[in-house]
Amino acid sequence: MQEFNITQTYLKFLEEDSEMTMPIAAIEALVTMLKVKNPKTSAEMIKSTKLAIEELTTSIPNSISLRAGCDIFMRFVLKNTHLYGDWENCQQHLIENGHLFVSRAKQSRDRIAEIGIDFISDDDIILVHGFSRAVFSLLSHAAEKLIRFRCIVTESRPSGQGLQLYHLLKKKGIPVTMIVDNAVGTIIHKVNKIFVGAEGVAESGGIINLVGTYSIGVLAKNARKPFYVVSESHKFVRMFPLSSDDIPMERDPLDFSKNGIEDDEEPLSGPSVDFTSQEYITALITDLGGLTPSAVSEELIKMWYD
Amino acid sequence: MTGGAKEASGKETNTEKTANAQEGEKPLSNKELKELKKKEKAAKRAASKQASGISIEKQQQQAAAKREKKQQQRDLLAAKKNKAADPVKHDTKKSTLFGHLETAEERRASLLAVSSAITSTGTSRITANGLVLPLLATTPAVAVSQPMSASPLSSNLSGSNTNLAGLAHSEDFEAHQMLNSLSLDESSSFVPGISSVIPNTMTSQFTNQQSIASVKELIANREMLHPAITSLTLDYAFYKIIGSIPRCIAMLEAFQLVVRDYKTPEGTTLSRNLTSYLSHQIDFLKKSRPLSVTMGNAIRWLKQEISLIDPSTPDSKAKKELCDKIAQFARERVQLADQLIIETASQHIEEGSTILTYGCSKVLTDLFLHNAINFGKNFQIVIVDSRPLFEGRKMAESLRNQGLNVLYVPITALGTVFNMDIKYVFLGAHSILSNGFLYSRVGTAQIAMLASRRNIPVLVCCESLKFSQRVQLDSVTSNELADPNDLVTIDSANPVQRRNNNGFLLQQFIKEREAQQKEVENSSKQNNKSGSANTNNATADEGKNVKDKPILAEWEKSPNLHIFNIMYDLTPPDYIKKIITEFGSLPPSSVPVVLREYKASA
Amino acid sequence: MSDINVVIDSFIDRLKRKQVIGSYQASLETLQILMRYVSAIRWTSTDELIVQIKKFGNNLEKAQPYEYSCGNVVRRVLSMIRDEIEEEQSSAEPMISSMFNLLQKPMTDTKTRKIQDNKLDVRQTIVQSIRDLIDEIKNIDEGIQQIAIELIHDREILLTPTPDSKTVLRFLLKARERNNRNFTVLVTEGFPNNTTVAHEFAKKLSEHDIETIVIPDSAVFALMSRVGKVIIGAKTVFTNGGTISSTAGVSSVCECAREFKTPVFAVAGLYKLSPLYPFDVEKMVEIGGSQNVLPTTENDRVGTVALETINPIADYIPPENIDIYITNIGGFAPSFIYRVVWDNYKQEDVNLGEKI
Repeated sequence: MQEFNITQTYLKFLEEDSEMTMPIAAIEALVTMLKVKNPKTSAEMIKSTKLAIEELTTSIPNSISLRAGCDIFMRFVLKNTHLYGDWENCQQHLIENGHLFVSRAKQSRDRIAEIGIDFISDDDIILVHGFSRAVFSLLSHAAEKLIRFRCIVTESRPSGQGLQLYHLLKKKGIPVTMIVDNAVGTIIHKVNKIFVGAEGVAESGGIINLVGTYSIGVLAKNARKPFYVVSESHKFVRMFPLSSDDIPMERDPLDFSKNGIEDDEEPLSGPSVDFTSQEYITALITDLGGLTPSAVSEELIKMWYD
Repeated sequence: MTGGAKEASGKETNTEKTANAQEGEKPLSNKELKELKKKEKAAKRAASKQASGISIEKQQQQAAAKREKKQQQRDLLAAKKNKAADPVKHDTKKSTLFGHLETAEERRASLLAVSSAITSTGTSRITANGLVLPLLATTPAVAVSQPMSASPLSSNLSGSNTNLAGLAHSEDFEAHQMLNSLSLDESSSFVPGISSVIPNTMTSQFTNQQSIASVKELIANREMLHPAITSLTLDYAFYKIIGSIPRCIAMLEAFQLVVRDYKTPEGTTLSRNLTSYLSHQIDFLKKSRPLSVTMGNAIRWLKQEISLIDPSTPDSKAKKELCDKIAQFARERVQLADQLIIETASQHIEEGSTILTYGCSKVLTDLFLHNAINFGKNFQIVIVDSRPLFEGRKMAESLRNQGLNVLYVPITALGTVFNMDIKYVFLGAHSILSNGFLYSRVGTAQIAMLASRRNIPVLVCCESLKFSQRVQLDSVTSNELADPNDLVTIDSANPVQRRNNNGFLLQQFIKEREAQQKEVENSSKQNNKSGSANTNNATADEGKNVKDKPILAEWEKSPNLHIFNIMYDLTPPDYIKKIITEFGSLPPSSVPVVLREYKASA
Repeated sequence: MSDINVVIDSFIDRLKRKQVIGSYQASLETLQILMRYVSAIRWTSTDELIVQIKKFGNNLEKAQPYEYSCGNVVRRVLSMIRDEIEEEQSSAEPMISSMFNLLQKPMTDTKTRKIQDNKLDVRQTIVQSIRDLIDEIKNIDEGIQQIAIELIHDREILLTPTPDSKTVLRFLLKARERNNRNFTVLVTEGFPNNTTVAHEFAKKLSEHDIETIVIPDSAVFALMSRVGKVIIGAKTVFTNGGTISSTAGVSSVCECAREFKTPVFAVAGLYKLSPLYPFDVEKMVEIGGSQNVLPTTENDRVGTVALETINPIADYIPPENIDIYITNIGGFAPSFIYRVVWDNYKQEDVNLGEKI
């Protein structure tokens, strides 16, 4: 316990609980950090939180989602110390209720499922890209409510998330088929609606998600199919990327330096996430209700300027 | 106004030609009158040449015209009392939006001016009872057999008159009395001349110099008109024959009769004279409605064929050849073309699919029937329809009667209908312009747009005969205005039927007179709202007339109220996936290519 | 108590028979009856009161599911009551965003609210707030006109596919009268259900010296290139910014406008905003009888099977085809409607039939 490492704590949380999302893990890690460091003044608490957040975001390659959690945490700490002056109380509360946050996060998924069920109706064919717990919980909830719908799952290469979702849905008894990612354009006309998850929801209401989401969004708009994002509200993040280029990437997505001389080199490069801007999104299904993309901005503004 | 009329009546030597022109001048402003007077002098000179051969009939007609003039002066005086701003009104009545288009009134006015003059020749006897004119039935036009149309003149042109007679005797006695009361001082005031048959609003529509000139010319040459053409013109004018292909076929059939009956005058040859003779017929046809593109293309072809005839060919042989060629043209360009189109388009009619179409297209009706009956395909057809023509109903009926699965919806239901799983949208065409735009029944563009926004392929079935060299960018610049009164009545009955049942012209006439009388009685009642309610009650006992007294019944009187009833609109090529012609399936961009390639055959 | 039930039942019957015409009428009557209802009923706690009002609203909604304004005003009143209660209890953290819930202290006060002694007082406040609401609804035109008139310029050509909207009519008359601008109004006929209304509308406008052109529904596309703005009257506005109009054909008109990039503005009183989300558009569009589409003679014809037909009497316009909503409290983009909705309604009242 001496050498506290925020990154490892964070990774441990993720590993231990497969149900845990990145922002929640980040919050949990920060709570643990407070527990260990046990700062004596409010300034110390803020400082150590800031440092931990910086360490965490720099050390994790795909930091968008966890950044959302850090944002909320930081804001909460700041607000309580500045506004109410009861930082001790706040720290106490945070440390004591670590598990509560986790269960709340899971609850918010249930809430999403309840809200989102209205978006699914009988005879729907739903296209799902990537694996998102929120999407899955919504779909399984709908299936439990005896809504008869069918799913098309993209393979979601290279992460292979599609296969994971495919098996889960199959287990749930939902009729499902899997297609290669490139086939989306061909089958989009047969689809009634599209559900995707999100790693982070940006200020504009656009989303950062598994690569391929953007292409599907464009295809959906072209085919005038509703494109729904299913995401917990704690994934809202104060970022405003204009395009996928603005997202922090672990490496240059287009790597021309590999000249392919060695055979064993992985030829596949390219980004692992992309940004889908709000004009492609019909609505966001969150625990706060079905939101239009513009409502995301409001939530974020409220959080920072209240 | 009256000064102009007096002056005109002083000119004894005028033929009925100028008299007719006078009809047109009546409602003009003084400024325009001066211009017209100049014209009149020129016309007088021209007329004096003809004057030597004035027949008794014509003299009678002159007399009739004079009497009419008096009648009109009376009317005008009465009108002046009530609405001094009458000529001004007609200037402002045209909306800025579509003021450039020839209104249905103008067209009908000129048509009626001509046709009444034609039919009244030789029969311009004045009967005791004014408008009761049974002898119209024996006009030369009707006496000639009408092989191509089941309903000859008596039911449409003179329809107004015969109906009038019928009404006068029975149901509409009141109106009849009213009519008589208007002509108290002269027992024989109602002659089948112009002003007695055409309501004032129509004659007053002669504001266009060109239309006056063309009417004059047509009346001058009225002997040259073939009865088949007059009959056909009226069928067009009353929307009895609609659709560009049926109109074209009917015209070609009429031309066959014209050619058959044609006799080359002495001193000229068939190949030289027939063309101008036909042009006369066509000028008259144009008075009913603007020529359709198909008709224009057919006429161009026919004229070319005539010019190719060797002058040495004996007339009888040439005429026979020409008739055969016309028949062949109709068969090749329409019937065979339709077969080919149906063959190609059938691949898009899939088992279990839903297909949306608009209005009524002959080739599409055949296509659907062919697929359902001959191929036994099972599919649903959504027929979208619109006011006021309700053409879709005809198509819906004929498909329904053959047991097809038809859903009939008004155009306002599109939002709901497009929520259904529609596979294709099939559209008919009036014409396809060389910039790829589809010129078709108004409403088509809206449907094509909605469909293409939903990624539903829009397919147009169209004979290449409908391809036009013309280019046009938007629907308002060049279009055909239909009768605004078609939109006044709010029921779902077809205006064509409505008109046939009730003697439309007569009603308008009566309405007008009635209104004038009412104005005399109490001009104050005009403006308040209860006035319209009162008229509704007042006319309640007139049975069918009640339907024609809806809210907008007196829209012509309100300077701010317009009714816009166009026939066609333009669909941009972006909305059209493919055009199926007898040459196969083409993108809209290939229309000019076809026009170039096949110009020789067109 | 029985007295009020009679009144409610008769109102419900009239709703069912569609004798209450227009959402303006429906909302006013609902409020008036609700006012009497509140005065008549007894309750021991505000929770109970809310339950009773919810039930009342639910009954009205069930009576006429397409008349959203009844439910809307009931929800508005509920929201006012809830605000009142909250104020009284001066809740601890009113300003923290819902997103923050995640880190908030666990809620402790789930116990039922105390029975209130000052019941009369509550009753008074509720009745007063209903009165205010009635006043607001009666005065919506003024607010709308103030904003909307500024959106029209001289010699503009306007198109309206909803001649049945009184708000649109009064607004146009006002615009002509107040700043003496000349403009032309195109009116679509809305065949088959609204043609009479359209003609009356056109006549009325023309009598007020506004150049009016009646056009058939099919000519919309042909004329859209000439139109400066499209004005529609909304019957119900949903949280997503979509709207239900009381005439069929409006959605295609708005889509045409979108295609031509012609601005579409919708006028709607605040009471027309509904906290519902249009999940299933097909269920929200009312379908009428076929007698208007086909003349009866053709329908009854012997020997042929009657034609199948659909006659929707309303239309759903998605938010992307509307540029702005003009309400009595201001102009809003469709994407912002959700906010206005949640300012006036409470999430827990969305479903009136649900148990608390």
